[in-house]
Amino acid sequence: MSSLANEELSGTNTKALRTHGRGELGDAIFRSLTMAFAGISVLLIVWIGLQMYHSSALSWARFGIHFLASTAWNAPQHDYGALTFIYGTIVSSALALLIAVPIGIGAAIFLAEIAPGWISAPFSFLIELLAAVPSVIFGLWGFMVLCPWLNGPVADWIIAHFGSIPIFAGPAYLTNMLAAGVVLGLMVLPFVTAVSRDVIRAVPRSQGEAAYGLGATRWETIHSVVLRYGRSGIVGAIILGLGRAVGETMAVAMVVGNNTNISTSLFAPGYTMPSLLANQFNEAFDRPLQRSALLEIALILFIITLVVNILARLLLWMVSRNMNETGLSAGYHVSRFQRISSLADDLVRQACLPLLACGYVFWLFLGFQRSGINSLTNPIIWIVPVIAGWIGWQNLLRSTRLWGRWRRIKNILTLAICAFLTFVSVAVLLIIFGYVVIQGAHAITPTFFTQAQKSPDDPTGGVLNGILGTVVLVIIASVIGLPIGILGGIYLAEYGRGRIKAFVRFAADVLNGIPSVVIGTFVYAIMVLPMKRFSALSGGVALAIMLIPTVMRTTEELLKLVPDSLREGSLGLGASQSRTVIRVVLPAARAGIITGIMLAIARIAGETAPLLFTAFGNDVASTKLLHPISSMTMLIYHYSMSPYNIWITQAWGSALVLLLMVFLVSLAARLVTRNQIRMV
Amino acid sequence: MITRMIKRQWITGAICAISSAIVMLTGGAVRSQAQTITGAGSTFAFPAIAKWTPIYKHLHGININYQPIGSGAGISQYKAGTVDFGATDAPLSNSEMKRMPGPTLHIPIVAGAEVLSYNLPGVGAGLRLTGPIIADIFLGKIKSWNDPRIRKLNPYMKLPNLSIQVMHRSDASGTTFIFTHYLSAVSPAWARQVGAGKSVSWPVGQGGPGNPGVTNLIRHAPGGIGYIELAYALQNHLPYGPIENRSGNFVLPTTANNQAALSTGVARMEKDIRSLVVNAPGINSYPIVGYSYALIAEYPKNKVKARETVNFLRWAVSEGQHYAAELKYVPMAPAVVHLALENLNKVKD
Amino acid sequence: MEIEIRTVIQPKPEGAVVSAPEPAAQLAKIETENLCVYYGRVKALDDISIHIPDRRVIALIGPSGCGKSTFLRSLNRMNDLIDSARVSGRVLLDGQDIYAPRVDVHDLRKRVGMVFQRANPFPMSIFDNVAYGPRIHGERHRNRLEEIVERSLTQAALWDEVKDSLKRSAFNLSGGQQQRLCIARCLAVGPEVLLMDEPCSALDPNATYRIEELMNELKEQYCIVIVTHNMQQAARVSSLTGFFLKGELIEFGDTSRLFTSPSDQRTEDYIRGRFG
Ligand SMILES: Nc1ncnc2c1ncn2[C@@H]1O[C@H](COP(=O)(O)OP(=O)(O)OP(=O)(O)O)[C@@H](O)[C@H]1O
Ligand SMILES: [Mg+2]
Repeated sequence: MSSLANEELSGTNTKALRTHGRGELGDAIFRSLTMAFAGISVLLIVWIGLQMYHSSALSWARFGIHFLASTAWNAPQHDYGALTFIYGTIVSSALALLIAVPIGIGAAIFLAEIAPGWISAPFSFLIELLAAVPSVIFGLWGFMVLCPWLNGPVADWIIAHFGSIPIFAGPAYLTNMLAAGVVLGLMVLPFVTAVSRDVIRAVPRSQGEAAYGLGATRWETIHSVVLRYGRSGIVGAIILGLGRAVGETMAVAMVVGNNTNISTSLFAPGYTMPSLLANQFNEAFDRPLQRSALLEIALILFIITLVVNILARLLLWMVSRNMNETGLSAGYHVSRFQRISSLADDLVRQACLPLLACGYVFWLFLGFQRSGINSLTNPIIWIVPVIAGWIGWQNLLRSTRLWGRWRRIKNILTLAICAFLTFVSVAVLLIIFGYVVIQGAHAITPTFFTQAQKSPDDPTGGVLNGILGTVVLVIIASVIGLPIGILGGIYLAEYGRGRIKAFVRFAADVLNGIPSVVIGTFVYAIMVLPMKRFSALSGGVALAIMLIPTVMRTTEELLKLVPDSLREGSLGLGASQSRTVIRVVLPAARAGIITGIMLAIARIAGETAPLLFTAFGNDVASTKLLHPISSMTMLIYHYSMSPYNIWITQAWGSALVLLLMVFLVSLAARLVTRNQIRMV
Repeated sequence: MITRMIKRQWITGAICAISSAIVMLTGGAVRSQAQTITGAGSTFAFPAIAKWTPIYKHLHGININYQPIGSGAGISQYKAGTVDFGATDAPLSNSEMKRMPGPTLHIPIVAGAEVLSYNLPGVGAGLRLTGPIIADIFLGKIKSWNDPRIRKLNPYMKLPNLSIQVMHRSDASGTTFIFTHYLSAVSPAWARQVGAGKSVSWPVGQGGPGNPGVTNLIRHAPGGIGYIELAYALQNHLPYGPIENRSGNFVLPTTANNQAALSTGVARMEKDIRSLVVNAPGINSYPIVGYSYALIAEYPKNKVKARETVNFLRWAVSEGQHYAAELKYVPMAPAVVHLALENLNKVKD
Repeated sequence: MEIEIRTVIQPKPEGAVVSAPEPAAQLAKIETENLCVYYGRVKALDDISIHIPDRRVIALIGPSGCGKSTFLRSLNRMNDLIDSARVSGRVLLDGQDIYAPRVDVHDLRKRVGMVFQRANPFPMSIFDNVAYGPRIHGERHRNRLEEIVERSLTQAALWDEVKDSLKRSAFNLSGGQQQRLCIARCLAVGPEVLLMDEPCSALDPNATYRIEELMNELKEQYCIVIVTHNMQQAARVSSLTGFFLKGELIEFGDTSRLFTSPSDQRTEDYIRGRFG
């Protein structure tokens, strides 16, 4: 890489001298250009925020703060409230975290601390691949495979044994909150795993050694020292994961049940904010109040994104402080966080246990009342005694000579659990992949790639309209998004200073975190309505808005990896800064940036929700800029929600094509950059 | 040297890619130059339209891009002017008509029946239901399939002790509009608690997108029941049964029974094309029937597209009926076809 | 550096050579027999046999990379943590082979504690740092923990400085205080042997002095093995010194003798600063 750059250097040397006079002007122009493009992310954030704010004014004026506390969603009576959807979003996201956090951290521990390299590397990659699976494929798999399974044997078992707890009360429905939580959990899992693994790896070795030196077992070391050291980083990762879960749209809309009643049972259908938007935004144009209410919900999502990002950045920033000033003189941030977290610890210890105990007693009482549990054979009665017994058992052993042996057993057990959790995550990926391959293989017929959609009973139909659509949308998004993203990234890495830079970067991160469905509503308002048409162009713009922040941040990260000596070399020869950036720095980081771009493109190619309101879909294989257009993802959504076997098979087939594409890109990226950038 | 070459390749590659992209995007045609009409809305009419479009393309070379996004969205997008025609089984109310950007014409394109399909392992077709029972199922008052009221109606069926999974629409829908109007007509409790409309506040159930979504939900959920257009039940071999009509007879949605019901509404439709015909009188009338309408502007902005749209609809209400009948849609009465053609002639293109 | 060493060593009268400790008379606390350690294929320690007596400070010196840390880490099996490390030969603690199959390595490390080059307190309060070891080894009793913490901190000469701020983060302490905290943390589990790998290399002279003083006190109770690059320090604190070179133990004996009249030419070259 450096030799390459040097050659570039000698080539530009003379030219640089020749154009010295113009160089300064060019420099200024280039700098302003990067700044302007970087500013676009800030502009977009402000614009989206204002747009949501204005559009929701009607609903705000009508319902006020009551909107947040009302469970009504009644179109005939023009009465709208957000509580049902806020509740659904909270419950499904909480479930997602409940699943993703233990598995993710367990897997991260295994990958970072236990597994030898030859296991750790491929497994990490597989788990990261899980992050690259498009949301709509999770939805497809969730609806076709997970829902019947959860609704069948799983629900039967749980309801039979735990049915007297309100959240597990029967009857079970096909699509329900639990399914949404599980699907979301699987989607957040790779993210939590990857970030936690990095945080654990960044914990200084000396910390572990200190614990081992005192005779701690591996598990004790990991649990009470390594995790503790990396705690704020992991919490940051979890919060970012939460942000993703909150904004996830299609997969949830396909499995959550879409019912506007709040139910305490996880086996009952529910609704989330993004899935409501996906379902109703297109039909609300002629009902101003409903539209305004929907956009108020979009605004809530937007605000949640902001808050989540601020929190997570704050925590991750503390970690980086923490890690930079290792050990000896770590600053006061740590101690301040320590104090807060130890306070939280105390709270948990002092409040949770009594609360749990009360809940248990209360529930037993309820259970006996309802005669839900009338026999001691019900396993649930034994939960609390077993936990108490466990604690007692530990205390008993503690004072005996068996304690050491017990610690070793516990060590092996917990490490085995971590390994098991890793295998679970990988198995989930393999199961999804297996389903898509097996089911999708049937769809690959000669006409699959050459024909557009046909009527549902015609087996000679294909998905050409979807494939062409995805290609066209990606091209439009790239043409618009890449220059902005790359130049914005150059600004962040090369020109940005101080507060403004931090602000721009923050804006990019927020933009990255805005749920895609919200971006869809935004583009509908600024493009589809004024143009009076759905079009490939507006779909492309929506995707471009999602592409910009990812490309910006990747470019920045990769440019920062280019050693300063290269820049100094070029500047020292009299080249202007813009020339240095274009001719030396960018080429040096080229491979990485291209892969980063490929990954970002793979991600937007898997988007569905914003396209529903912008590209709209087209049965005909169209490539026209100003006409509605289809995409693989929209086809998968429509086909998998249809009852026609031919279409469902084609949905699996499209999923296979999409997955293969995304996986190949990820694999290529991994091979080219060797871990320089993370896919998650 | 090598870098130079690589760079040149890069540049030529990029130029190729961009130019081909431009050619594609400006519609330089990978496919034929055919005109495309965009329609959206009703999923009630979707099987018929899906049947029509390839035939019409074959006959007249016009592409019809029809997106079955639900009647509510069809109306919405028609109003927003983003589609050439909207399709809805819920005719516009007077106030909705007023809010439209210009005078809007209703063109009935198909007539059909809605059935209550179910998924009951071990139970075949023919489950008898009455209006009040359907209403109570959808109100969540009847929770299990072996509820005495259902058993009493179906003494010879082995109804399992399975909880009922009610399926409804997650989108604003004309199918829902017709169904809830029916329920309001037969059940005061329903009329009071829920009412009728394109999207209502469902007391129980799971929502699926469009008729296809509801059908799919029923297919996958043991114990499921939902209201869908007849074609969906037939295409997917889902069972349904006779429903008690206004005269107290249990009737199946046969073409004759549906026609009997629809014929009672023709006179009213001649006064106002938007009239509903649910719970129609008559010994043989099937109680849940309705029309799907195309919505078009009387004074269209894009004349060329409007002409093509009118041509297509003209074809649909006449020759198209024959193809729709293959899917067990009800051929529209000559008087209704006449009304449709009359309305089409009003378009100033 | 060179000059300093001479000034330390030269004042010692030739005749004052103390004879090496009589091995037969004193039972060794730690004994190694033909100890070899490999990292992958590289041999880092070659055939080390040494007797380390109890209640003394033993200093290990030698040029960088000669295997001092490796040796130290093989005495409490910290090398187990390195995947590529392999050990042959025997290490006896009180006559028991610590590499024998049934030995509990966690128990071993409790008996043979370790203090590292850079202070590495845990991200917890001072109290929790010291109480960490006792806790994992099964002590939960609050009063007893407080007792242990106070005793250990007192032994590590830190009690007076921190007794009012036990709840504060350990990161708020100065470098020297942190190192003494690490020593206290080590003492809290009640070890028999203390291994110290360059414990003062990151400290200023004052803090170094405090720690050396501490070692002097601790040797009344513990066997202390310390690795140091500071020969002055070795001379000041230790009674026995071992010189390592390229993985071999070249010379081991009484500190003052080793520094004044080394028996091996390489030792002499090293302490005279001719290489390394
Ligand atoms: N984890 C390891 N893997 C492979 N080789 C290692 C490892 N640790 C140490 N070595 C090698 O073993 C040899 C001895 O290393 P050791 O750390 O014991 O030296 P040292 O005497 O402590 O040096 P210093 O005075 O610099 O601390 C060195 O050649 C080193 O490269
Ligand atoms: Mg060392």
